[in-house]
Amino acid sequence: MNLFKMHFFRMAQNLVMLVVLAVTVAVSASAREITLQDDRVLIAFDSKSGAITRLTDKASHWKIERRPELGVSFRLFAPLPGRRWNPVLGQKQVVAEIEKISRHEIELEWKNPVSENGGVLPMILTAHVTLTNGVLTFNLNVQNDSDLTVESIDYPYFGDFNAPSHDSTNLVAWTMKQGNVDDLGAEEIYPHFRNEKGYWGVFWPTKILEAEHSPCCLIQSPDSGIYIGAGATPEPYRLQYVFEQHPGLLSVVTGLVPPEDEIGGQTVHLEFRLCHLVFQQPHTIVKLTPVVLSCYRGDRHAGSALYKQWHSTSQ
Amino acid sequence: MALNVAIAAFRKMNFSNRHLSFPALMLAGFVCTSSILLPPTVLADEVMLQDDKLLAAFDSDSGALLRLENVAGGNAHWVADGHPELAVPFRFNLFSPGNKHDYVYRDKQHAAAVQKISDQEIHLQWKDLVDEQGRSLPMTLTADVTLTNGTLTFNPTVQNDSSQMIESVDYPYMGGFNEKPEGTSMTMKHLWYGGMPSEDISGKPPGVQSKQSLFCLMQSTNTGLYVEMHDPTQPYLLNFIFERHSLTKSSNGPMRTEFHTSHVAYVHTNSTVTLAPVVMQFYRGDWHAGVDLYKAWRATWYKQPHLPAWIQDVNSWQQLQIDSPEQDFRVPYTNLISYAQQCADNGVAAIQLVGWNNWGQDGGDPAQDIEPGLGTWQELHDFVAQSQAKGVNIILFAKLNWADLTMPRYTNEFYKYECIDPAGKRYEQGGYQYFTPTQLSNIGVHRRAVMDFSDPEYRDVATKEFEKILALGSAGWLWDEVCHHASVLYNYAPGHGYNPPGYIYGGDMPLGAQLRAAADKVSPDFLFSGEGPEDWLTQYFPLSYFRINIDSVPVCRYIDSQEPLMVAVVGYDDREMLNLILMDRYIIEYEPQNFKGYLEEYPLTLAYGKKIDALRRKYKEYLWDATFRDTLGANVTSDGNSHYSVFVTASGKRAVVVVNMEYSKAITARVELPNPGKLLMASPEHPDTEPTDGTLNIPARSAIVVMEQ
Repeated sequence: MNLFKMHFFRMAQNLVMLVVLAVTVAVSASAREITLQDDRVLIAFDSKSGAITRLTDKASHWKIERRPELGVSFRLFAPLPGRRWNPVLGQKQVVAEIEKISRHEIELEWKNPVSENGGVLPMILTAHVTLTNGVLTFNLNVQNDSDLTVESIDYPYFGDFNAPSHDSTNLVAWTMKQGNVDDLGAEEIYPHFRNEKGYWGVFWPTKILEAEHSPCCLIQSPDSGIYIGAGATPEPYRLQYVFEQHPGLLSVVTGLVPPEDEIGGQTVHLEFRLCHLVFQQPHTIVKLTPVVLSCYRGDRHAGSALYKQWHSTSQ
Repeated sequence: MALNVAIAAFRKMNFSNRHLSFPALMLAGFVCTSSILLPPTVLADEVMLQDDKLLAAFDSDSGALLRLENVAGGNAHWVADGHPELAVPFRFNLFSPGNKHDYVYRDKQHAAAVQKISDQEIHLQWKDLVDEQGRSLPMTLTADVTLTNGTLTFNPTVQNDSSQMIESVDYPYMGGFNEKPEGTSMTMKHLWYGGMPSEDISGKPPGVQSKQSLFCLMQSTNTGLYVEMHDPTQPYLLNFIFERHSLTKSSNGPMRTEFHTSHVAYVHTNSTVTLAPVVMQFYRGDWHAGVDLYKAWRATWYKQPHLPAWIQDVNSWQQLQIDSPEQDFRVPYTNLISYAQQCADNGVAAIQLVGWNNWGQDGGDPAQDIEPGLGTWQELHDFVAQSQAKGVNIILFAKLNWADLTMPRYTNEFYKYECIDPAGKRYEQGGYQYFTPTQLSNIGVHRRAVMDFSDPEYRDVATKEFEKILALGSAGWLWDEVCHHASVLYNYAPGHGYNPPGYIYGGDMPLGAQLRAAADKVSPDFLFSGEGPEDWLTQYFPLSYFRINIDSVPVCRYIDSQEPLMVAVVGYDDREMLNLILMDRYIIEYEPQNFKGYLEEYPLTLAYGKKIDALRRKYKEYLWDATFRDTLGANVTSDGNSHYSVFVTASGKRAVVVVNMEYSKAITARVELPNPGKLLMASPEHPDTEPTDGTLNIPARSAIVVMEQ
């Protein structure tokens, strides 16, 4: 065997190994999803990060969370004494434990998350997600053993919140104006999206809707919707529905969202999360307000009916 | 008068409210309404000024303006004020320490003199005025009113021999403004932030302040009234005010509209103040005709500032923010060169660098020290030099208006220059929110005290801070928010080098002059730029940066075709904004990721912007060096949503930029020019000219330029 042949053989051998490895990774990647589903909803979590990777309304086939690679588990801010900017980004955390407790119940735990500027923080976040008759409930406990105040926690966090399709004509977020479910205000989020915050102070066009007067938010397409809101009332702290359009708009003149998954090499996606402004003191445990999510058919009145139903049973 | 007759007739009917019959109500309503709407009758005791354009009549007893009329023929004819029974001579607002206001107002006054000095001039004087409580006050208002070639000028002087300060003088005063000269309602227009806001006069009564605009237009379809504060030095605040009052006690009754200019001059006891003249002129046409009157006056006082050569040529900028009060420290000084390299690679001439100073954008003001979290002074200085060696000028962003209340220097030093209100309390600006959910919920935002620019001592402090910017070696600076002082107009604190209160905006120009003098010691080419400076302030801040939308009126470009005006481009394929920029000859400022990203982060926008600038370089005579005429001088029709502008070259050749604002539809547009020469067309994507007969097929989201040979 001359040198050339030997070299070729090794190259081929390496190539085969690479292919095998790639296939293995791909298989294990697809296997790393843990799902809850019933006849109405499917939700999937990444077993490594705990991020929500898929969410589907099975009745309308609406792929609400579509691209797993954009999934996010949570985010929190814990300012340092000398530097306020100290987020903990869920994308960079590894879940310590993820367990499917039953057919309709998953528990996730993140321990000692690594913050952007303050190193490892002695904290434990425990999420408990249930699916019952098409209703998802997200619970999160935060054990803060650090000396820092946790100002805010974003959970649940949808990193790729989609309209039913790229051709959708009018996806609107409805919230109550003054706690009255029969008096709703609308904010279009697709195909137009208007930044509502000072653009100097946000990286991406952002809308923040307050839960103070609106225990629920209805994200409404022309013929179906998503009900999301606080599972307890009144909320013990300020809660917000936050929409963030990445990487930006086509044009601020038209307010149109880029219609494809990518523009100029940048990924187009809408982030949607509930922000809990908890101001959690050091060395305390906080149980966040549960967040419920369910999908419905019909217009916003159908969503309002869900709220009325929930409100009447919670009294 | 007619109104009084109507009310008297109504009373004679002797109906109790319960027994008013429908016909009686109709009759009373008809008479009342007629008294307001019918053309006024000429009174015997009028003293008039009149030429072939304008008529102004004054009451010989009260001195009130009874009638103001555009006597030009056709659809321009308009009695702007013509209801003698509603006439008001003037109004004083008196200032007392307990903040209780008293008025000298209305029909209690009798003029001491109403003299016609010549065909063009009337002399008016009111003495020993009577306030609303019936007290006689030793105050004198004198007004010389002149009419020259359709220009009516009111020159008031106030002599205050009383023990009370006069807060404001409302003069001249139109008590019965006719807001529907052509049967349709009017709008009030003025300059502000690079554009021309417009408000419906018949809606909520609008108001304009001289801190934004030296003039306002009352604009009907084909005619208008131009009203001007004839003093560009900002001696005090002048309000252009509409008020709406009911003619009866019933809130549902007929309404009248007042218009007056209010001189917030704070005339101290035992002093005499010559107020700013107020000019009124009728014009025929739309807002362009009104602004033409301003342009003619502006040419008499505006001093063209020196501009460095690079900003006079076709150029573009990037804005980049690197830090905020939330201490994100995103781009260390040593990493900035990678941003500059992308600018150099793409022919972008400048970076507006934001957040380089201590505590980032909107933190730490007015101090202009570096931010240690980003690096050292030397590192920033070296970056500036390296970038400019690549041909990318660095423009340092700063604000001198505010003092961050969280800073030790506020507590130790800057508090001395803060503005306070009449009750002795500090004015505050609310600060701005950055990035974290906490701040975006308006918690922990850095509030700021408002610095007093009328205080010479503060101007020296501000100059010292500005010299720190000069020391970094940049090609210029951009003063963000140079256009305002939050809600503060006057500082009522003593000990600031003037008899309080001091008009804060009156310090803008002296501070601008002082900073310019400091910069000239370094380089006359050091560029001053600002966020939407008022027109007079562009004498010191010649580059104006602002943001526009589809409805923005390019009035600043219409006023000055060559003024460097720069507009933000934020979208990731922002052809619409870029086409508007081409149309109105604005400078492109690229702002990827809300001005926090790399230039090449939005390649589609960058590529189209570069094509537009290439087109402007190729046809510079038409698109950059020419006179901007907005829509005047051409007519463009199309089968879609199109916009256009007209340029006229030094040799009289015309260019028309036509923009298709349709998102997905090509349009056909027809360009018509009076007596056109040979026409050629080009576009950013097809820059080589082709002949055209003026009919254009314009793809969606695109622009075509038609040029006359």
